[in-house]
Amino acid sequence: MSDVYSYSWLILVAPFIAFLVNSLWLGKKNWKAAAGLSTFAMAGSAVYSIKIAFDFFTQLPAQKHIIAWQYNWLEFNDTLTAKIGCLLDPISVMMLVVITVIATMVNIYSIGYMKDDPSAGRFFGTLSLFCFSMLGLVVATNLIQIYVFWELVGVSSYLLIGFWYTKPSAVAASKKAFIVTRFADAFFLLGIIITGYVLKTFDFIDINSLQAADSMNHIVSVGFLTVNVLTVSTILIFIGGWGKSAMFPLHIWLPDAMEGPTPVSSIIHSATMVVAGIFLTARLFTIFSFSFVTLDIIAAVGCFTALFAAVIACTQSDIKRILAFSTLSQLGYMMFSLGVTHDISGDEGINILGFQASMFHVFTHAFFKCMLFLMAGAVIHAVHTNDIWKMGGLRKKMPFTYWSTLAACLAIGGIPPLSGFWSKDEILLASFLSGHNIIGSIGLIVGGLTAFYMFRLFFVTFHGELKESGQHAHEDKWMTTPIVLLAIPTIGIGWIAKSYFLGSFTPLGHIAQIESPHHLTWLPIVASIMGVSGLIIAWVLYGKGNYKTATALSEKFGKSYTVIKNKFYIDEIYLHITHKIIFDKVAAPIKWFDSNIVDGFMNFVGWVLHLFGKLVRFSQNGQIQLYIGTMFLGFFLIYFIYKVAA
Amino acid sequence: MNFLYPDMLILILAIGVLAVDLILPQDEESNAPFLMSWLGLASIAVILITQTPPPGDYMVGFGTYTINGISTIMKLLFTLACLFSILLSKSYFTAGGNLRGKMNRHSEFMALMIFCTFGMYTVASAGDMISLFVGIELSTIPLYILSSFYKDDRSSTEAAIKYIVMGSVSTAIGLFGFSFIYGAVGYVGFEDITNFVVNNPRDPFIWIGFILILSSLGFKLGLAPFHMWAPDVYQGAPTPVTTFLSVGSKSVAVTALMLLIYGPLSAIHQETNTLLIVLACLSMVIGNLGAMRQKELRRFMAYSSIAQAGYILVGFLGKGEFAQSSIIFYLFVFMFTNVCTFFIFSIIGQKRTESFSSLRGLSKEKPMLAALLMMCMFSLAGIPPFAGFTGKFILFASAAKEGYYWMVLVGALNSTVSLYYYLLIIKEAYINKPDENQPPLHLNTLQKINLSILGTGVVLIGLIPIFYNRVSELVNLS
Amino acid sequence: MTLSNCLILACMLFFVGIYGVMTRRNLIGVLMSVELMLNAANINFIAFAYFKAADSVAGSIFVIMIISVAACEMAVGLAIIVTMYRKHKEMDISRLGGLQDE
Repeated sequence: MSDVYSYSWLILVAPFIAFLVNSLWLGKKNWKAAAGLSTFAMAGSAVYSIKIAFDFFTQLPAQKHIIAWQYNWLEFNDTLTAKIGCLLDPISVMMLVVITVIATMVNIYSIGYMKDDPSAGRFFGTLSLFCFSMLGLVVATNLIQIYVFWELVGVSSYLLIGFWYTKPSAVAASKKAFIVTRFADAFFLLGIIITGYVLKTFDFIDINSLQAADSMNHIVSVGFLTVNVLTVSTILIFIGGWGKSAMFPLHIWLPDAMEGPTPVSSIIHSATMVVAGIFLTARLFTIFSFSFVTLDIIAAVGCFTALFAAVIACTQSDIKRILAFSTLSQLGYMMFSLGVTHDISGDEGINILGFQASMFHVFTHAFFKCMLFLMAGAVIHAVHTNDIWKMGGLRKKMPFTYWSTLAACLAIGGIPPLSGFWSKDEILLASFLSGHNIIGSIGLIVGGLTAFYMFRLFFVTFHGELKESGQHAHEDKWMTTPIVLLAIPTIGIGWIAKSYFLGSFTPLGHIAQIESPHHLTWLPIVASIMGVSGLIIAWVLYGKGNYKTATALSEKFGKSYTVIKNKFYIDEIYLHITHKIIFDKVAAPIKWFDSNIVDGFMNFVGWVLHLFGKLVRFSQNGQIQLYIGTMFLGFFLIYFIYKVAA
Repeated sequence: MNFLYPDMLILILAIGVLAVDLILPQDEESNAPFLMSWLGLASIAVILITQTPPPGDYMVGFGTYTINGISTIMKLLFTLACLFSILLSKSYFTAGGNLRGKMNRHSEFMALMIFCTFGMYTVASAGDMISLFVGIELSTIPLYILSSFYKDDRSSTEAAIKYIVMGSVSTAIGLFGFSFIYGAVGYVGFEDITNFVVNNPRDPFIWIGFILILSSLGFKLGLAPFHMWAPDVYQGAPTPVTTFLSVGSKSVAVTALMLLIYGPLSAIHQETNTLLIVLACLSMVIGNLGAMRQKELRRFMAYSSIAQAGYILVGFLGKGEFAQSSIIFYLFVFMFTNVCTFFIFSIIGQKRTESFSSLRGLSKEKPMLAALLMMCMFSLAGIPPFAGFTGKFILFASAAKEGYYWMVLVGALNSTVSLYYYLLIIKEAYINKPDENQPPLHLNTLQKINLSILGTGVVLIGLIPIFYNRVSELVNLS
Repeated sequence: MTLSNCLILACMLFFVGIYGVMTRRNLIGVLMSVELMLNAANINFIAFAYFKAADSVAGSIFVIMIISVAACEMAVGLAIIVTMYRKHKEMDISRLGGLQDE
């Protein structure tokens, strides 16, 4: 094995050292030095990752995976060992590059963003921890390691979302994120334990195999239920990813997580944390693919989340919330793409195009979503408000940001030839090829919706009149540089990377694949039409915010006034249809459902827990004789259970 | 014979510490008892660490006193718990060391702690019911006295009364149970009982006896519904005693339960599990619910310990060496984390009341202390990479190995709920603004050294495999 | 006199003890009831040792142990109660509600 791989631990160690040094010592002394250290550590990791990626993809190993290094950590017994190692295969190498590059950009950006914050040193330390945990997660060789880093990602996101801990909403949000994801992790842990005991191994390479699937694929009865072990354990593991990737109804933490500093939102939404759930599903894709039930659940959950979040995004006015829901929607794409890999008609093997497309979308999405959040942060920094209706006309004030954002919006809207188009097209192709026409059609509609709400945001923010708040807007060089740099992959990476993803990205382990034609000629056209029409509707509704031109026109061409008036009338119809019918009748109820029923249910659970807590505390009234009575009751309770059981 | 050195030394140490008080002039400020006890305990701990007993059981006195791998590792745990509690108690004997006042007669205090540890040794080495009973009593009676050590503080005396009344009731219940087992078997030795139970697994006397003993041990272990003494006593007793109570007393009960379940009653393990499941679920749920809206730190820790006892009981569902080493390893994790937490509380308690509001703004005032507190809370909630995660994982794994997957889920979900209230502590320390009127905190060198040792333990025990491997090696010896 | 007679006596004594512990208001009375419960165990041991057990000496030793340990326990208990009475003038168990959840 070449030395390049065996030294891959350096990628992890660099951010970890940055974390230790910054949080224990340097952070308090000199935040600039701390920022420099974090940035250089990340940049170094990024360079090394790119080198690894270059070597890996140019000389693809025969097995398509390499275990660069591995140590035994805990030996539970002879057969069961927890290991720590580094597994390099196409998806982990891709994630290494994405994480380190994005993290470097976010670090550079944060130098500008956090410059007035008194605890910036702590920020850079925690950010390095966050990257370290995510890097450890993607190179994990086994379930235990992935779980450890998985939780570490949770801890560091808790620290980062609640970074501004003087803000009560930030604290509540960080707590919510932590507890909701950990709720899902309880199931994940159970899934890991079951898998470990049935297969006598935690290693991904052993789990992702036909033998493993065979030995798990049997029916057992647990109490009153009869279940298939394979299905149950894969679903349990998937629930972990469900929570982390914020799929409905566990998505409630993600929009609230906006309370953290914007660079944090940026990195959470693009390369770390939420992608972890997708990554987990992809990592265990082979074993998942043996259970069609699990794949169907994945597809259904992803598809529903994609649609649901896109509709809600149309109703939001907070710039970061729009982006948060857009992330949810895009995560839905990635998720259902993994699910639609089996043919709907029957047992004809697995078409890994969905897998490749999902990973491709993870890749392209990371760049433009990161950039969109950085843009949002820059705009918020400039105008000091999150409300898009209070922005407007920032095009002149922030030209670099404007043009970069345009590229990102085009990319996420799926307009060719930008990067988002290519990956989204592959996802839709995968759904239609495997016969999941409904999911594919929903995907098309969501594509249109995405273009609509993104350009709504774009036009309202950057076009129209310059509002009061934007008078002193300017661009900070530290913040603008990464935005412009990220525009490059946003525009170009799609058609460059496509061949790599479709050529060399295969899941770990062997899968019975089916070959299918890689083309549906109508699909890219329809997808582009959906995207463009979303764009146009947004333009018609929000793009003409430049009312000066409109009034000037109407005065100049007095006779044509009626024509303009008529056009305005068409606008009214549009407005009526979109606002009165779609917004009020469809989107608003969904939003209501989201904020009242889904959140309300969680609050209800909390309330019930508190009620019982009150009961426990009420009985603890300080009277010894009551306590002794409870003891005897307890004794009789056990005795009774013994009698019943015997 | 040299395997008995730790047991002999600790007894000599206890008597020596008492004697120092007689020999030295009546000078309350003397450091001699403190130095003697911690140096003595530390050297006993070193002996226990280096000692590897021979495979099998090394019997003394016709099998009443046994030395094996498990007893050695448990003795180490007890010694460390006592050592750290004594180190923690130092500031309580100096003027201004604690808001509740200064404690007097520290050689008595320390001698009682060490006697109590000797009682725990006896439990770990018990080879029959008589030594088990005497050991449990010897480890409990000093704790009654210790909880009332603030004589002028009404709550301390009240806690002691609650503890002794309920404690002696539980002793009576346990003894009643022992008598039935004796009645069924006709012998008191564990080997005889084992043989009897293998042949008569459904004997009613055995079962009634076991249920009575389980109730009694459930009291010591703080299992719901026998837990109700814990919050009151934890709150009323002096903090060093609470520390020892939460770690030592709990470990003794676990040891005794382990002796019974993996010894004489191993033939009916499957059946006893039904009862353990009920107790484990109740403890986890009640502990977690009770902890939610607490304002007093030691009371909060009491509920948290009740829930922790529930997790430990989940480990009992497993079989054989794996389950035993998982339980013992978790006890070590629990010891380090809990003692570290109480250490932080005792530092808070020097100038302030030990309540949630006193933690306010800790991160501004003492950032390292706040970070350590956060680590401990994460460890208690079972979040990687801290020791609590590794411990819990192995516990759950041992239950899962026998097919108790539901219990794993219940345990994991409960630890999610527990995260909620552990985060409340972190919130107080990190988020709420410091109170300007609060007196400032000071750490002396002793406290700094101890906290760094304990903090290192909280992080490293779970990460470095040496600790678990050593536990499992010693368990496999016996 | 048979084994079952003795066991019934012990059980009754045990429940009398429980009743006393749960109803007496005076702390000394509570401790006395606990003593009854301990003695119930003693009777059990003696009865088993006399009628049934193969190793009857063990039962007798156990009883002696119980008596001495119970003596210690009661001594400590009384000392704590005396402290309570002298420092805080309180003997009523139902008024020990200072420590409780609010």
